[in-house]
Amino acid sequence: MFNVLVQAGSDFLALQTLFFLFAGVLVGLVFGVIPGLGGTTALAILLPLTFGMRVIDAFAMCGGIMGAVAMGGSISAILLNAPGTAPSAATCLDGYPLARQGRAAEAIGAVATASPLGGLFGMLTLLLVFPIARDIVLLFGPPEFFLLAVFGLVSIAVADAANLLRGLIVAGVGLMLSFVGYDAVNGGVRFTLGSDYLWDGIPLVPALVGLFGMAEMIALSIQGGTVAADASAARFDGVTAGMRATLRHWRVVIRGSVIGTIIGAVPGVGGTVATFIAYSTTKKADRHPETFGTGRIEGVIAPEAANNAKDSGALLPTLAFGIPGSAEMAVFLGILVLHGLQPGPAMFVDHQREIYGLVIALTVAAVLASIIGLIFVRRLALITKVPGGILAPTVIAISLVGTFAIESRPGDVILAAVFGVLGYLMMRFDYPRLPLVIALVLGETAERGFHQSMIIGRGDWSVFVSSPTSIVLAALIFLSLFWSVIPRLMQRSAANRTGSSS
Amino acid sequence: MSRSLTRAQVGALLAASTVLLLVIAYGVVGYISVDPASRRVPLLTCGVTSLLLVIEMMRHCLAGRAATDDERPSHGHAQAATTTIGGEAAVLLSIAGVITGIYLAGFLIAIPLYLVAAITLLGRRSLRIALITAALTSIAIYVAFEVLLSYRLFPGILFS
Repeated sequence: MFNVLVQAGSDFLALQTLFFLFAGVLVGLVFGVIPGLGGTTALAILLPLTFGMRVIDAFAMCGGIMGAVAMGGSISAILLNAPGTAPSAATCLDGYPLARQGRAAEAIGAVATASPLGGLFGMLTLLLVFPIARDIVLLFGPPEFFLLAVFGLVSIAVADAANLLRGLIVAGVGLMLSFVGYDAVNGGVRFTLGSDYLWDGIPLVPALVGLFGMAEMIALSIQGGTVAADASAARFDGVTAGMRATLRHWRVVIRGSVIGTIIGAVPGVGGTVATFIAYSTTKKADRHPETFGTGRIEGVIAPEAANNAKDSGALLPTLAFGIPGSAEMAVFLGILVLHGLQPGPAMFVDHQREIYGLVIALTVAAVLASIIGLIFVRRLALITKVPGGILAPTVIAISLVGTFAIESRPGDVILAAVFGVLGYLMMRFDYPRLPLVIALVLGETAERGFHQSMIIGRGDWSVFVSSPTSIVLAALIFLSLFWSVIPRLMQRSAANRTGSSS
Repeated sequence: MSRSLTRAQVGALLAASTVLLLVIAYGVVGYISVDPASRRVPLLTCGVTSLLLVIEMMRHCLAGRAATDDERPSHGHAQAATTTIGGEAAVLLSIAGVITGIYLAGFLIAIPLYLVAAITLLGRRSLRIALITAALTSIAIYVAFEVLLSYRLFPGILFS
């Protein structure tokens, strides 16, 4: 294995390959920064261009895009609360509050360190796991998918213990919205209000752009001021502080990377879930979870480590079975086929060199993107000083165009605006937005997993605890619920005792 | 125990009851128009969410909970204190306006008009700044999407 790895590494020393890698990184950064676009769009646009390239050059460019998109997406998430890509939405939660405190550079410094570390962790894990990849992916059947979806949903909904009930309500509403459209299992069309546009369900990216980017810009428009609450105090010298914080919180980096790699490898679940679970797990593990969402650097580090680690994880099912772990991987699958490479277990034997080359490209791209991001961080952080009266309408306009560009559907623009207003109202009335996003992502997976499991188990519910993996997942769901509820009940009874004794 | 509801609680109660009405409407539509196999999971979710909403409303109605809720720092409530209904309505109307404009006249006409109107009227900046921002943004959008990425931006139903 080591020899092949060295050979794959030496392939990248060719000037031509390095050029394509660098080009991929630049394209990835640009597509990542623009809300609504992202890696899937970039890969889809460049797919025909790769046809005339050598396989290693095509992999270098694709790896460059996939590795850099995360960094680009996080830059706009931190500076504008408009996630450039869906998985970067989790970075908004603490990244944007940091920017509002004038600590945008510190947050970007943390991203620039956590991203390549996550990518490196994912790559090392992938190299170790390749020989047993098939066995791992086969551990997940419909019951496990259902339980994984429920676990993802519950862990996000209960993440804010002070807002537990509202978190669960929003998760419920999100699930109901995720059921809009064509029912893949039973074939019915539901809740479309007679609109053909909604047949495929509520598209995720316009909803995300609306809920996070537009909602925050609506709030900024109404309140006035700048993104950095005190623009005169905005500090651009915090990059090294952010980098040091990431190294200091190495446990958070490892936790995020492990979650990103594992969830990234589960087909259909995707990077958005990975980053949100990494965030909520870090929040729960912290001594002061209530301070998350107010500008905790760990809230940036965890999702960023997961964001880059997930790409290596998503490669597993894509290469081993031809089952894409994410939308990006689905397009990448097309590139593999275009170059005559047939995904499957044999690929790990016949095309080891190319696979290792791709993994190296992903890691080098994350490092390159971080360096480029750091070079421009001072200029980028200036955005937080632009008056809200100018910035908010401009970002709203660009977000609407970016949303339209994904699939050229005017309906996406209307949907983004509707979700923007909904997101603003949720902020206004103190309802958490996270569970809505996760429910939208996981609703279909959960419902499909539920129906398929019931068919497999012939209506017997014990199918959900019929394998060691499903038992572990079921236990995790109950632990998540009780972990949040029991401390509150204990606090309340202690308060009652104190009240009655006084 | 019989404390009157605060303004924030009335707002929260109104929000929860509006969501409850929508959830019930969703359930009724599902029960009437969706076939039994496809409506099972949505209706189950709808029932659980309705129950949670009722608990949320009861929580606000119980006067004993009032103090706890008022003391809890809340982004929404804090924001509500610094905003006016008129300001919110103006911004939300501008969003509705730009969406209608895009639908009728397309991005390249609606976006600059929206930017000029929003920056001058809502952002209270000078017309010169608004015109410069609108021109730069529109050119950037045109170059990035139409020229470099070869997207055809929606021209609006009036020009398509």
